[in-house]
Amino acid sequence: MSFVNYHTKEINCKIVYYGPGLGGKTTNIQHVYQKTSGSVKGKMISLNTENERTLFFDFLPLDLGEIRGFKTRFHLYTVPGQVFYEASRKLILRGVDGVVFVADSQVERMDANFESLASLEKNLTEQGYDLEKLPLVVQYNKRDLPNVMPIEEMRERLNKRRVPDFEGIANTGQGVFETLKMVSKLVLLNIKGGLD
Amino acid sequence: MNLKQTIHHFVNTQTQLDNLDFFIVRQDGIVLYEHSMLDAQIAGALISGVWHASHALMSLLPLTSEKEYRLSFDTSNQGVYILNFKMVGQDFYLGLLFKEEINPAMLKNKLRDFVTKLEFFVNKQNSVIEKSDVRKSYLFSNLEDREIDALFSFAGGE
Repeated sequence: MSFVNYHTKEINCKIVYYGPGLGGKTTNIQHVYQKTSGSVKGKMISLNTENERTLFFDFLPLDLGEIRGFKTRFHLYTVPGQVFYEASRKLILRGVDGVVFVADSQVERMDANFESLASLEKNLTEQGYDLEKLPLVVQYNKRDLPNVMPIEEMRERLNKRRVPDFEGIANTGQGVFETLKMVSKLVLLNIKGGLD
Repeated sequence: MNLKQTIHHFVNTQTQLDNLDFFIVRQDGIVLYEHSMLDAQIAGALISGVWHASHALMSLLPLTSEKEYRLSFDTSNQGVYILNFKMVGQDFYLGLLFKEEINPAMLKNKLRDFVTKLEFFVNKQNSVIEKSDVRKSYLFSNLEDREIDALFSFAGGE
């Protein structure tokens, strides 16, 4: 649930990167962190296991500057992708304003993509979200690998709502900001609280 | 006054926590009030996260009634203490970080007293806060791509 302070003209929003394990969620926000200048980025925190897998969440606060006079701040979170961290994923989705689903394009990861997407839908529904209204963007990541599924087929299988989607190679940064800009736009357009 | 202003107004009248690092945080980790030089956004995300995780852990026990929990992670003189409380029908957390405290128990007691007063004060203003904060229509009816690009101009042309 976004927070708008009309007195100080501030907007705070929460965006969660969701998807299967090793799909590139953390790599997405690490790229954002690397490309962000000092005044914009806060510290990035990662609650990891010893082998660098996300244990609870990654968190990156971004102070983006003003849009139509409102200071805009986004909080980017990733969930742990591994199947047995379902309880943590539920917690991190609380209060979410927009979701980026980072799918792994490798053919052998399609089942993991389906499973993760189903878990996303179930967890959002349980928390009372209307899936048709929550801003969602899909990123088909790892497009540089040799064994990827054709994009049209991925779209057919993973993006039945036909939400905005992007191809990505998160470890080079390709598609990272396009995805983030799109979900940010959808989230801002979804904020209730007109000035009229 | 909105909720954030109401909280600031209340805290400014209180002196018992003057020398302490504490944060008032929403369920989603957004900080509504900070009294600290530490990174408030990081603190907010962690306070909210640790509370949610602890609450979920506790819910594994088949308990019949919901109690008012407090969360402590501390030694005899330093640590973290988090309280959950309600204002205008929503859950919030007050997270305190302390070190070199001679009497943490007394400090925690002060914090509980502070939260009780804050809840009472804010809930007394409830009708005023709701009138100014509840808005039905969308904040932006349209946004141009160039406006979003400008927000992300830091990304060096990506």
